[in-house]
Formats: sequence, C-alpha cells, structure tokens
Amino acid sequence: MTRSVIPNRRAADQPTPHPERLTEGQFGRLLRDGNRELADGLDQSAAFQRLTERLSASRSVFDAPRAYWLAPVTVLALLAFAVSPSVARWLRADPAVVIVAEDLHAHPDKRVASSAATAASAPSPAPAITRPADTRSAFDTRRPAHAPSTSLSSVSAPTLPNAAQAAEPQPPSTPPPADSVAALAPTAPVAGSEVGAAPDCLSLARRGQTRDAEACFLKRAEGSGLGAEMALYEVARLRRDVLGDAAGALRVLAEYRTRFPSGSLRREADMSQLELLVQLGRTDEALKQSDELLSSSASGERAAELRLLRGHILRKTRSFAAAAREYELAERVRPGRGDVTYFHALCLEALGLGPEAAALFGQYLEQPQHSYAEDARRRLEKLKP
Amino acid sequence: MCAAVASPIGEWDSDCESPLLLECVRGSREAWRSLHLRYYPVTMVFLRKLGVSESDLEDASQEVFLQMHRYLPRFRGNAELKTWLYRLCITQARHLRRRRRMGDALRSWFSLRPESVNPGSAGFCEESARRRMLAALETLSEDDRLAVVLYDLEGLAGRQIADILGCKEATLWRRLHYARKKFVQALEATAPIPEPT
Repeated sequence: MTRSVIPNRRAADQPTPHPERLTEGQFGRLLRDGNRELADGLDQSAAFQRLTERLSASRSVFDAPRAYWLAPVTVLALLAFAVSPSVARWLRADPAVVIVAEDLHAHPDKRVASSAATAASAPSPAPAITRPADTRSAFDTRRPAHAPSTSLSSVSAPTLPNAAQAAEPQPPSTPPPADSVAALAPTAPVAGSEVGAAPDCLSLARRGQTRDAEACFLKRAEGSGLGAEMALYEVARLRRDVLGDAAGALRVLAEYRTRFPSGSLRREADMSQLELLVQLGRTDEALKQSDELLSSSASGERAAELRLLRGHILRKTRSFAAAAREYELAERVRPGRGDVTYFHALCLEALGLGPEAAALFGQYLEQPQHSYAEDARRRLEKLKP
Repeated sequence: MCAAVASPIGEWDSDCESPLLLECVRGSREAWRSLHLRYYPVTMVFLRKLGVSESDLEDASQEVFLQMHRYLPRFRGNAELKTWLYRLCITQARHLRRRRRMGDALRSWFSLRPESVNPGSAGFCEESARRRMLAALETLSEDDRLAVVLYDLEGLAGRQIADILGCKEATLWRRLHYARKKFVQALEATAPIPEPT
C-alpha cells in the first residue's frame, strides 16, 4: 500500500516549539483585556487580614524565636524604647511639638484650604507651636533644620546637587510662605490630619511614641474608607518625616495607590511618591512617573511643580537642554515664578548660550521674588560683553 | 543592601526573595505581609484562569497561602517561588474541581439542577473580554487549559511550564499546539455577531 505525503500541509499542522503567544496574535487584545479584568477588584489588605486570622486560629503562626534569653532583653529594650523619647525631649529641653499638617503650600489641597478657612473664622486657640518659623513637617522631630525637606517646595529649591555649577549659591533662608500651614499653625492645628485618623494615633505621635503611632495607624489602615486612606497616608508621612525611612514610606504609598486608585488623597500620594523617588536617587523612575502624571488629566494644578522637579532632575544629570525645556514649560504654566527663570538661565549658561542666559538673568532680577539675586547679578556681570 | 525587598510592589528582584523568605520562615509578620502583597494578585488571577469559581476563590487563595506558609521552611529554592506557587494553585484548583464534580454528581443524583455554563450561547456575544476568555478556557481539558494558561496567558517559558506540569518539553509543545487550536476556535465561537446593516 502506498502512502501519499503532502509535506507542506503536514509541516504547517505540526507542533512547533516556542510558538508566538496568543496575546501577540489575532486575539491579543481580547486576551490582554481579559487578563486585566481578572485582576480587578482585589482587596489584598482584607484578604491578608482574613488569612492571618485563619492562621492564628489554626496554630501559633508567628512564633517567637526559641531563644528564651531574648525575653528579658526584649523587655529591657522595650522599656528603653518607651523611655527614650521622654529622655530625648528632656535633654533637648525642646518644648512640646504640636502636630500640624505638612507644608503643603506647593500642593493646593482642599484640606489645607478648609483648615485655613476654619482658622480664619474660628477663635484662635492658645498658640502651641514652638517653631513658628519652621516649615518642616510637624512630625519632623528628628531631622535637623538644614537637612533637605521632602516637600516639593523644598525640592524645587536646589536641594538636589547642582549640576550647572558647583558654585551655585544656596538661597538665603526665607520666612515661610504666607499660605504655609506652618505659618497658620497656631490657628490651624491638625485640621487636615484629623479627618480620617483617630485622635489616639495622633496623640501617640505627639507624645513621640512614633512606633506605637505607626502601629496604630497601620491597624486603622487595615479597614476601609476614608479613615483607612488617611491612616495609610499618615503612616507614609511618619516614616518619611520622623523615622527617616524613605523606602518604607515609598512602600506604603505604593500600597495606597494600589488599594485606593481613585482615593481622595491620590494626588498627594503621587506627589509624595515622586519626592521620595528623588530622595532615594531613583531619578529615572521619578522622571517616568512625573511624565505619567503630566500626561494624566489630573496633573493640571501640579503641572508647574512637576515641570520644575523634572527640570531639577535633568539638570542634575547634566541634560541641560532637556532641563531648560522643562523650566521653560514650567514658566509657561505658572509665569512669574522667579526661581524657575533663574534655573532656566543657569541651563542656558551651561549650554553656552550666553546672551540668552544674560537676558533671563536680567528678567529674573526684575521680578519681585528672587532668592538667588546676588548670584544672578554676579553671573550677569560675567556674561556681559 | 536589598532595596527591592523593602518595596514589594515595585520591581521585584529575585535576589532579594531569599532574605524575604528567610524572614517569613523566622516568623516575621511584615515579611509575610510583603510576600502576600506580592503574590496575592498573581494567585487570584491564576486561580480564576484555572476555572475556580468566584465563590471558591477566596478560600482557594487562602488554602494556597496556608500551604505556602506551612511548607515554606522546606522550600529549597531550586525553583522560583512563583513556579512553586503555580504548582500549589494547580493542586488547589484540582481539589476544587474534584469537589465540584462530586457536588454535581450528588445534585444530579438527587435530581437537583446543576449550575450550567454554556460558553457558546449567544449571550456571551456581549460579555466582557474576561467572560469570553474564561468561557473559551472552559472548553478545554484540564491539561490543555493549563498549557494555554501558563504559556499564552501567564507568559511562562516552555521549560518552566514543563517543570510545573512534570512533563517533557516536547510533550508540552504538542499539547499546546492542539489546545491552542481548540481555544482559538472557542474564542471565535464567542465572537460578537456584527450588527445587521
């Protein structure tokens, strides 16, 4: 019996290793959409809570290590930890610090506006802020005054290493802006922060029991709704401002963005995450994220700050042309911001565009706000033919 | 210093998995939480693709993590943790399928109407991509489904899938070839009917 073989036909129907995945083919879009829809509506936090409850019910889960000598050492350490804030406060003879919302003058925020409105209308309580001229976060009991703040307003000042010239001056210290929450502090304590956070958590933070406050907020964040949102955001602030744990803060903010993709603090979380990425030196990620934020519809009111931040990052990486472009865009979004003009001029100077840089320095000196006037004058003199 | 462990949601560095697992084995709740945070979505999505119903999903996922918690000290690290997780999910889905079959048999024994799914019905024409995909997967046998899900939907390499399924790579490619044909046919069958002009 003769068997007829049609080679081409068989070859086409034969299994082949590593075929092109279906997600790349005709049904690619459908399958990718399906994949994405399958990941919708997951509540990891609640699931973790249920899982730990189940684990705890079944057997001892998170067993303590079997080193019995650890018990007294742990007790002593806990005691020391509990006492240390009081001792530290006593040693510093620093009056009690009242928690206020962070310096959000660069982040227009409903809460800030409402707190300011409340402060304006309500009778002022006794002033309790001990550092009225300090614009640092009220949680910030550890970071020295000269350390770079993580708020975008500070990032917008050259806290980043200066890529244009090492001789770039630091701006003279300026009083807090009029719309700063810290400036309003005596009449606006905690108005924003207490929206969703329980007073007990805040009081722990006030007393300097940071770890307890963090645990308290974390517990609260396991719930749902605005309270959980606020608590999660407060944890990020505690880690960032008091514990100096930028990576931890970043993690919490990422969790916030996952759990509350359209949360009421989403914009704040986005901006804080951006600042932390810069702080951690992850500038590529910061650029990418800021680009995404700029392309989103919600970036309107923050566009100037985002452009400014991008300009600083690019300047730091010596991409002066790109930085100049960002500064230019920042000026367009919010004209009359003196410092932007100055940084723009620095970039042009670094690019060898002397006349243009000189013109911008001159323009900068004519503006009402200029923190770098002296340096601008010096550079202008040098650039003059 | 392993920064990626501190940032479980972001880029996951496999070099950083070992210290995290070590912390989990030591009983650190935070490490366990990080691990859960990382792998919970993977588990849920994979279980859904394996046909675990929404009512069983949470239980199945919990079982997977309980198994993981129980056997983590014995995890030797020869394979990736994710590969092991896939195996746990597959086992769990098999248990559930067996249980469901038994339930269907009992219902039919007692003349109760079992839940029926008809992936080819016209109603699916207007369903979401998710429903269409799951309906098409329902038409496959268990082995075929696993091959398609792991290769085409999860994007795993052939060697990894062969390792998970415990078969030779050549077997996998053959199985995948025929499974994909059926899957594509089922997808075409659930394609929206164009509006008459």
